[in-house]
Amino acid sequence: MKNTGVKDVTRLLLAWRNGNRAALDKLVSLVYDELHRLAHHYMRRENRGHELQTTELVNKAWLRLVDMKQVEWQDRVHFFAVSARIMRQILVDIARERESEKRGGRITLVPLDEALTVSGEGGTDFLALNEALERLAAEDERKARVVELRFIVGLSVDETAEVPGVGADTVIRDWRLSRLWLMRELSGGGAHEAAG
Amino acid sequence: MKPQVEELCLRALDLEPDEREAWLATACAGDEALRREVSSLLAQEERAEQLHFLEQPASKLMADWLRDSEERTLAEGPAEAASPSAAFVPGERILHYLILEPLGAGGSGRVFLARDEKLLRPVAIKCLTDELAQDKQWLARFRREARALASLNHPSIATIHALEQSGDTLFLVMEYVEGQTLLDRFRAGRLPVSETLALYNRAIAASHSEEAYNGRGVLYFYRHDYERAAADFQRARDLHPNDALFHANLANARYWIPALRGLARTDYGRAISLRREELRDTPQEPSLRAQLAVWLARRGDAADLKEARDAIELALVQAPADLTCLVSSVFVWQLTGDHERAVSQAIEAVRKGCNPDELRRDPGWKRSLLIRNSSRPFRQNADEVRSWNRGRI
Repeated sequence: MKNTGVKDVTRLLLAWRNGNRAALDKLVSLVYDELHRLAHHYMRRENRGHELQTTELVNKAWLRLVDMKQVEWQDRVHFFAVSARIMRQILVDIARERESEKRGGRITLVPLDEALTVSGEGGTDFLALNEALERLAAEDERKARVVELRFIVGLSVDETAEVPGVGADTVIRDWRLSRLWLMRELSGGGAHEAAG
Repeated sequence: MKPQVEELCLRALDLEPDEREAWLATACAGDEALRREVSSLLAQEERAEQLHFLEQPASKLMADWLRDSEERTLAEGPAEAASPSAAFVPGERILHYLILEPLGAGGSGRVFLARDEKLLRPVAIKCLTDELAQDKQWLARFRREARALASLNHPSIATIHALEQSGDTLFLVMEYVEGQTLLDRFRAGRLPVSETLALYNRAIAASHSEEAYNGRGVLYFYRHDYERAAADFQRARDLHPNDALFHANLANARYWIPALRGLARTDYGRAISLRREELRDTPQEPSLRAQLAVWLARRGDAADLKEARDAIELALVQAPADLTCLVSSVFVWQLTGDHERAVSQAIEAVRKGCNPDELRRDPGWKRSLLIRNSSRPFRQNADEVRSWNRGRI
């Protein structure tokens, strides 16, 4: 039986930091399993009047998997930045899985009954957004990071502002601009689209 | 994004929408490319607002997806759970299984000895308790755990033959391991100390093994033959330490329980939080409470010890007869010689929660051991246990 368990998370994190790409895949699958387990647990609790607190769910999964003491986090935001990468990858996996299932069509960010659509399929396409986010990172890494922390992890402005050298004002500015920039990318009006 | 574009864009956003274009044209002072660039960004605002673009964190999306997926899993269960109890009566047939006798019951399930009339062999059949069999989520969990268990192949884990459904009743058909359970063995009379120590020593050896880990959330077992259990402890090296301890602690279990997933041996904080969650799921399970108490006590903070005491007392109220788990954990602990203060606190709590006279009357070796232990200094006791160990094993 192969030993790929929760215990390995810390080791995998270190391996990933040292440039081992395969470690990320393993991490993703571990976090994913844990999320499922927690979701199940929350579903049970929900019937007793509890809400499924989503950010809590995701962060909790993470916190339970990582031996905080053994991983040297530069700061809290570093921890969340790593979380964001993993969550983003999970979302991409989910989106791809959904797409291949053809169960619910492509994964979207807004309800299907939303009158206006961006992708023409009922909402913002997560895979397309993910690609746009990569383009943003190539152009302006800090902005992409702010989007990751705020959108993927769900941190508040103040929490995001814990990034060294990035004050709350910068976070707000970056967020406003990135949102427009990404929206333009998804609408096909971006510089990238025009060039391509 | 050029700084100039950013600056103009942000300033324009602070204006009313119908003022922006005019202001921008002036601000760009004839630089048409700049104006177009800023304008194309500003044009997105209305759409972004209408779409609530990026307003909900993606983790919400992930959680929604998980919820959907969970609901699908739950929906796989039977549409309605009927009363399974009526059918599980000795002499009755369910599918091709002839129910022979009840083997035992736990907090979540009941186990029967049955005969598979096609393959002509004895089997153990596990079903949920009547109450839980009505609960779709428990049914879903039952299915999931059955599947997980079926994927394992280990001498210490009973083989799953089938997950069957008759009408609305879901049940698990498992390997029947003939023999006495540890609890039966304990109840039959005092176990020689040497035998007991041998058993626990093996459990500890297994649990201390570095390889003692398999990280798959192993589900544990049922009716265990005493001799076989002892041998199993030696074979349990690829099991997680907590599994091994469960094995020791819940050797009376004829039902299986989900073991803790992938916990480091010393990671009590996480263990405790998982245990608390499990308790929320199955509050009727005093052995979990007892184990929680032991772990809390082992951490040894004052607040933990208080909670440990409370947990032990609750466990005692719920199931005074089910002290096995707690005591055996304390016992294991003694062998490792750690955290004396915590141990004495745990023992003190047990004493407080029990009627001493009742304890003294009880023939169980564990309780007498407990009383004996509680009346002497810990270190002396641990040394004695170790010397027994050396001499006998």
